[in-house]
Amino acid sequence: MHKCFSTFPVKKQAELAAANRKLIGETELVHARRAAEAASEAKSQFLSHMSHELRTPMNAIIGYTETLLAGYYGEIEPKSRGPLERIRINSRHLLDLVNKVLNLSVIEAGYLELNVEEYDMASVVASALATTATLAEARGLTIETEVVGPLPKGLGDRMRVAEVLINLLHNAVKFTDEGFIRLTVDLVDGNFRIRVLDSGRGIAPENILKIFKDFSKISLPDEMEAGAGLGLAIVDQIVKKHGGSISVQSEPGKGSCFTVLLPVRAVTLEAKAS
Amino acid sequence: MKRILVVEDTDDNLEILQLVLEREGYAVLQATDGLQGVAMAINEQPDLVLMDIRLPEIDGYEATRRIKADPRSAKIPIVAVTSYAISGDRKKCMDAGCDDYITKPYLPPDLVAMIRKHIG
Repeated sequence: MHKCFSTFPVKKQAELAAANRKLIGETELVHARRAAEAASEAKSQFLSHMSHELRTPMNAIIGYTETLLAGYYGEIEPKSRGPLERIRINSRHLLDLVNKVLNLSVIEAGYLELNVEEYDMASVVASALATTATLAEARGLTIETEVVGPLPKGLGDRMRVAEVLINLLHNAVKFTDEGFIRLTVDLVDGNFRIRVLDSGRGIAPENILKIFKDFSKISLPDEMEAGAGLGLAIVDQIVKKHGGSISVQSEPGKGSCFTVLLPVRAVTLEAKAS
Repeated sequence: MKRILVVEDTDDNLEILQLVLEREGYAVLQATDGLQGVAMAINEQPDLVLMDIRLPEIDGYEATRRIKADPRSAKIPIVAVTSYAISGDRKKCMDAGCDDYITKPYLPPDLVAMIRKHIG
């Protein structure tokens, strides 16, 4: 057989086969990616729709309750005020749960995108306190704050960082019947160290690991209500997305201390991968 | 008296908004679909528009784009008041040209504060 016929084509065949395999592989990859994108888009639309459907009736319930209580429909009979207040409290609680479930679903579906910008940690602390102060006062608690500064400008998602603080403070308020809540922020090795210390009920050792499990696997200790668990799962995801970490020390009956280490310059997962 | 155009198709929401806004001393104009909203923004020249997003005819995004594209109404501040409240929805509203965004359910004082920020 001619030399070219025996060696060259064999090599060429092998090349062709390899090219074919590559092409088929790529086509499969493209298909898989398209399918994943379609599924992701469907999920995103579903969540968006769900959010809308849940909020629309809640808007009417909360809107009418608030305006009734504010006297927009005339004076309220004293006997009716109590029940209306209960509707107000419960509807806000329901809204809080709806928000957290949707928020976490969005995060878990992979849509947590950080809006990275420079932020001033002291002002984030101030806005988180403003949001939490009313709840704390209602429970007869004050939140002591210490920002050990001057702190450098942070780089990360300002709103999400505030959400972390608000969730941690909310939980501290919810689970502290008397005593104190202390928020401390300082700088440790290029991280903002955020500590929320309370003199509340604390968490049993066997439950500490459970509280950060993601929502789908969540198995909450009896003493914790669902909202708190959802809040922590959200906190965990936000902190991780910034390249940080969260830990907790707690003793039942004495209190808890949640510590977040948040890189001053957010190290996003995408940046790490590339 | 400052005038606010409310573009909203749900009776409950309309009633609540009207009650809250009138109590604050604003005059309320109503449109119940996107096209009517655009026409009223141009013809009535309100001081501010509260824009629902899911609306009949054209949605709030498109209505906002049209109001902002017309030189007669481009300067009127538009606040999106919407139940679309997940990650990315705010950006969609701002990209369409809204000046601000508040989610339903809102607390009346928060809505009023947002309006005051734009028109006092």
